[in-house]
Amino acid sequence: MDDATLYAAHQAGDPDAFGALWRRHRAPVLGYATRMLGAAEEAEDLVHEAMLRAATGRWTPGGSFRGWLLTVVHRMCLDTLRRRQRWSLLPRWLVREEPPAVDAALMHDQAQAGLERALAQLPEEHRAALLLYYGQELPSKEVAEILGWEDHQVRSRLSYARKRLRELLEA
Amino acid sequence: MDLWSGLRDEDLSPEERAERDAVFAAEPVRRRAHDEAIALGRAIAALPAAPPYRRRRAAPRRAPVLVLATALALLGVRAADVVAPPVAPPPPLGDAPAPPPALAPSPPAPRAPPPPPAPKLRARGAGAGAVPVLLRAVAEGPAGVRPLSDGDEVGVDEKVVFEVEAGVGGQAQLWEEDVRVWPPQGSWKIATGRSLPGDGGPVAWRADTPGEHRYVARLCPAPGRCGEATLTLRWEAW
Repeated sequence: MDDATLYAAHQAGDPDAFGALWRRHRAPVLGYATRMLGAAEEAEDLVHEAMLRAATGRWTPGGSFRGWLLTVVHRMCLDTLRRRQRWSLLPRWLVREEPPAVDAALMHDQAQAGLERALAQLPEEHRAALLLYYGQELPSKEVAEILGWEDHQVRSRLSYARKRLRELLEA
Repeated sequence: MDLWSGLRDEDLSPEERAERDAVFAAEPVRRRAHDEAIALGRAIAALPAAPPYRRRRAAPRRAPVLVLATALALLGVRAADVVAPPVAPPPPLGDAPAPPPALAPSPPAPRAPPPPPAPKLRARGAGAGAVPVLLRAVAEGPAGVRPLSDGDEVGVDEKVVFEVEAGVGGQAQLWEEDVRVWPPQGSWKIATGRSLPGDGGPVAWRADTPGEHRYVARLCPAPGRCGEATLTLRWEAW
């Protein structure tokens, strides 16, 4: 059953339909939010809120449900990151801030752990482009819609992001 | 820089694919670069859906700062002194106008506007209705520290420090109504009297978005028995 059908069933009162949508999309969307924020619990709160928005009927079928959800989550991530930037104007010792911590011990593959760390160090727009285009395997046009960019901007930022990522991986 | 390197075939138009293939045929180096970019993308796609970040509370989201404490220390006052509405001293007797003659009818004196009502610690909440709790706030900015009242505006360069006053001890919480995730410490234990939210130090706050936001302090002296106090602030656009 596709997303639009499930969503329509949810709106018609099917108690299981939204759960099915949730199970289908939660993990990839949560992965995106976690990598954007570098904080698992914060990402969980954020994705939960986004799903609540979806559950209360804010999605208009037409585009993809995951694309819509990622658009919401991406904007919420940007809000969170900008809020942090406001705080970053404060002297560092005043702010209890930790860098994102990838637990290499939990990763079977050290190369993957290195990739996670390198992704976490990228500027947010580069990280978003890579995670949406490669991580979520979305078409570049959909990535452009989510990020509010033109298609050519997605392409150029992907190029810069890959270059920077390679530099970080080789460092 | 070409804009098709590292992109999947389905994201390229037929013309772009033709151009790319022609370039690859002529310049194997660029094909290798494209293949490496695609491989890097596959590595990103192969990452686990849930990244194994260490679980921790996201402290930076609402970072505590000591700015207010520093400002208050410079002013030589305690936070409670700043938060409490100042008590106006009585007018000096020597400057008081002479009273009108006792028997002469006197025109009614022009009335001064009534002072804003001082916040009162009231019993609020559902059920028992006997949970006295009050939410106060001060704004801290370049011009110093000023107390805030319900509906006050907060400047673009100001931060807000909240204070909860409890008439009875219990567990307290404070949140912005449309966020509901603050403070990061969750609830905190509060004794009778005044308390700063969280773990004790002044926590400065700015809203995520300008406009009107409502803040709610909840005090629960016992499970299921809670009272709430609210404060609405209008954040200037930034």
